[in-house]
Amino acid sequence: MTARARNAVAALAIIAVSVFWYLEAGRFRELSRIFPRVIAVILGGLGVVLLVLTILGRGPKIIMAEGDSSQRHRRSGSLLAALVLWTALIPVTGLLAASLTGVAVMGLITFRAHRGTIRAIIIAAVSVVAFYFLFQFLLYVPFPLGFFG
Amino acid sequence: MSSVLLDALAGVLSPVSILLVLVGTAGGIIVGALPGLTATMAIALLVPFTFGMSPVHGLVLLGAIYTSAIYGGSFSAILINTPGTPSAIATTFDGYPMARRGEAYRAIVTATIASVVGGLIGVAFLIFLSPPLARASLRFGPPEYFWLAMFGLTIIAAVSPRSTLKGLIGGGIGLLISTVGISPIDGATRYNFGTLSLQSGISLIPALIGFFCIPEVLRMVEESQHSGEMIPYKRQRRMVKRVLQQLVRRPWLMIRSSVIGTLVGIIPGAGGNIAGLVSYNEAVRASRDKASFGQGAVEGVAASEAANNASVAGALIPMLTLGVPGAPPAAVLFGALLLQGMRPGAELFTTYAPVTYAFLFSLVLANLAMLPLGLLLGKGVARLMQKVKVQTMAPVIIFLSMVGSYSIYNNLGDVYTMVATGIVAHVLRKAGFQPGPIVLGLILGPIAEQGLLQSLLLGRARGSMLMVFFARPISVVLIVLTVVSILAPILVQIRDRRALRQGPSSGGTE
Repeated sequence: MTARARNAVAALAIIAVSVFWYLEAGRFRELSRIFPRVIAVILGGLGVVLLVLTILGRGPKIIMAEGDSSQRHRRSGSLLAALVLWTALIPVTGLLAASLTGVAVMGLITFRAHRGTIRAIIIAAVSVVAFYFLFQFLLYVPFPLGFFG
Repeated sequence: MSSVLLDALAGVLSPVSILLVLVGTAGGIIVGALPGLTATMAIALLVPFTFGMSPVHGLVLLGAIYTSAIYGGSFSAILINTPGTPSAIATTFDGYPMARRGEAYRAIVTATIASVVGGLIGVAFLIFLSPPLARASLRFGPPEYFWLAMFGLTIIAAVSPRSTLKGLIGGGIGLLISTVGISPIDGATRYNFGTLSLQSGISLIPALIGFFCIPEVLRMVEESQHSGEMIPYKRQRRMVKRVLQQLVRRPWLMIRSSVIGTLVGIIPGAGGNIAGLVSYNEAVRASRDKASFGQGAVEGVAASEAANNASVAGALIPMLTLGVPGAPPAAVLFGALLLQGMRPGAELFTTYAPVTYAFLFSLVLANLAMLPLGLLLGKGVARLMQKVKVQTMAPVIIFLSMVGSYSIYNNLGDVYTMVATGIVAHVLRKAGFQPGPIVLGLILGPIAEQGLLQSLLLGRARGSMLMVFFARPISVVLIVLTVVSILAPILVQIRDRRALRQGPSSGGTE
């Protein structure tokens, strides 16, 4: 996506959120709705300015990273998906099992570009287990155990 | 007062505090030296660890990490031409050329001594300026707090890299997020979308971890670090003495850079990178040998490093006295203070004075510890920079972000908050929005809302809104500063465009 398209999408999203925030504030009592409405109006206005500047070709520049962007986006997209999966697994399998699964999946995504994938995953997994037990037994944090509980 | 200072000294000179300063300083140097790991990320990840510590110990550790991580950035700036933290950008200009011509150790020693001097001068400003400023904050009423929040947001937008408009929008997004939860005046629940976990609002620490850690981790994975050739690091005898003699002959360079660093640090959002660049620019302007800058001038490294370390203390001045953080790491420290039940402002220098002064004194210790630790650990840090691929640390950083968010209140909802804010921050970064202004909006939102609503009620009672908002002297000063901070970048842009248009015809002088 070009910088211009990104600016346009961002401006439209900001305007949409501002309109939603403004309308939603109508359900609150008088004092509770003043500030959200003021902010929504200002933010919506700034969104319009961003949209107009973008249409006129004078929108703010966005620094794009060098290299193959599709590969980069695929990698960060996969990482985001793994992060969501990891988070969703926590209440089901508990933090430790979910984290070990998450580390393995993320390791395969992030370390593939480097040598020694398996070794790196093992080091990451050992670090995770060490921090888990440090928190659980030294700092007495009761982590969710999921179906192991 | 003297008993308070003695209590603070006793607190900071206890064996545990000294050990925490040493551990924090060493850890901070390593974090700062590894490109991709930032001071903000390290502090955000460590805040939950400090929850179980006493306030003095927790703050001592975080302060030591903040100070030394900014200095640690100079190692990679000098040895691989990649700033370990954004604050070390200006250090690369002369540090790397020095290293290339076989003077890596001299550059590191210069950076170390300049960082220590800059840090100490900054802390001196912090210790002497904060108490009177905190006392002055007692004169602030609701309208002043409202305008202070507005000024904080507009100034961070003004100094936002690349776009003032996006800085302002970022601040607005933060303010919008801050309205989720219970209204500060009438207690109504807002924007919780029927969920219990959003009823008390967005938890600050998980949100800070999400905003500052997740996008950084994703960036690490997306981009492989393009760094220059690693220059070997070899110690040379009597170098410390030689560099010290050289810097002592230029007291103005050190004092000017440190003062610039402190003042720039005070400006919300400006941070160490701008401090380093402004100070470097001033060092070039003041030098008789301008041509040597960029070719490996010791003065260039000293100016940048003294300023960026002085900016650490500078960023803490508005945070401790007014609750307006000067830089992202200070914003995370703001969260750490709230977690310990301490609210920035006059109370920090009265009720919590022993803890606050112990924290300030610990910054002196951390700066002093940087000198031996930086020089002793230098070789090991250089080896770590060669061996560790920061990308491979991504899953562990994400795990620590989750554990940190969860362990504050043992609440899984906080993990969801962290992940959600992290994803939002990543998407926004792709569109050119930086997390700094958003986080400042999130922090200043409640201050601004309370100030606005209380002022409105005050105006209604007095029958004149105008008098309440616009007629009080401190308010007028803050309004003028707010207007200037909005107009100044726009005027600078117009001037630059005009200069660019006229440039080719008028011809340059250099």
